[in-house]
Amino acid sequence: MWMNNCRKYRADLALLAGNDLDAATRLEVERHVVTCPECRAHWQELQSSQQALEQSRGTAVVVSLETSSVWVDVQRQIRVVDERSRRGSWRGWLPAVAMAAACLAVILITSDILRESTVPPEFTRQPAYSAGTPVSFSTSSAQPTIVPASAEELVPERLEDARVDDRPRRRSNRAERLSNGPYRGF
Amino acid sequence: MARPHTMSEIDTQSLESPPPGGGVSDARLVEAVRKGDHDAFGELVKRYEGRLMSVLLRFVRDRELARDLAQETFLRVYERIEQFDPSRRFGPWLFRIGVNLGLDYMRKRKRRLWPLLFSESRSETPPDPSSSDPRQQLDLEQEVRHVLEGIPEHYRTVLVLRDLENFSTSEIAAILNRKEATIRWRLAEARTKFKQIWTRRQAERKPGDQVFPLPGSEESDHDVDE
Repeated sequence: MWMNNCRKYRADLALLAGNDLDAATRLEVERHVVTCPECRAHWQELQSSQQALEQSRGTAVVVSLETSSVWVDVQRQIRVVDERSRRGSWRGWLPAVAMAAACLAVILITSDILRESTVPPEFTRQPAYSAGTPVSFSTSSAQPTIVPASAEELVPERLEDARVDDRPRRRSNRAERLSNGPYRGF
Repeated sequence: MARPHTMSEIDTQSLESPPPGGGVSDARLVEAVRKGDHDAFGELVKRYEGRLMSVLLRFVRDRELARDLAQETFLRVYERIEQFDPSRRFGPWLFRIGVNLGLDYMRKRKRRLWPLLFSESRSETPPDPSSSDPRQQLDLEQEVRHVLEGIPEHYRTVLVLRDLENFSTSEIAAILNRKEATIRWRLAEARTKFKQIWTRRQAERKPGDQVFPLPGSEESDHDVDE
């Protein structure tokens, strides 16, 4: 008759078959087997299969003892590994060095660009440097050459005018217009 | 009623350090290897190669292949020696690498290899001279391998390591990186599954062809004390 706790004993019986149970559990299992015919049959089958399993274990070990040591081959491979790691020791620095060089190059280029982008003082005095002014680029230098549109642009008065900020003047013109125009008197 | 635990105890010694002969412990050898001592590694190789090849042979059933895998195992151990935790035992760590290599290989070549194994098994495993009838021993081994084939891998691995290679459950737990309770549960399941397939195959055979007689047909030393 199948007992509720037979399932638990089945696992213990499997361990008992390979002598993997502690003494206390073993006694408990043995007592159960005496009283349970199904577990007793199960135990007998387990014994048979376990005995077959254990009897089949011998040959592989015998075979392994007949073979020569693998150390000679392993030693050869180890030398290769060591050689590779020695060569790889400086190669290991290669990415870091490359990265540092790249960073340095970026810094140098960036600083160059920044230096170029700051407008020299003489350029601020050039009045004719506007969108309409033709600019020619020579191949020898990256510096843009400003070509005057006409001879008038070289007139000192215009240069003088260019230095003056026209915003206050525009504002004064507007005030003048208001005072003289139709809104005069308001 | 039960067999003594002597085999397990003897084999357990091979994974412990220092060895029975009183030589240098595994931990010291590992330390020396870390300092670049090749001879120390050679000592470790010689200490474990037989057992490792035996275990690998259980999985691949081919001597040359087992040898190649053993070499690969030792090479990986050498390359990863810095990762080894010296507070733990070296043996299980080495066998974990070896067993994983063996299992990986089997998984990759599973479909092709299993039929090959059984067809070549007679030439690869010479009969045990101590056996009274070598043919019967070969039949038994072949039958056991067929039955093992029918067991899922994670049960089969535990069964092979415990019942064919005599590792203790704690060692298997260390090798497979599982809790010992898990290994004991798997072992019980594996033995039960093995028993089911074995009994069914024995019942399917003709009575005179039984590779191994069922209990009751001869006296057994495994009987439960009544």
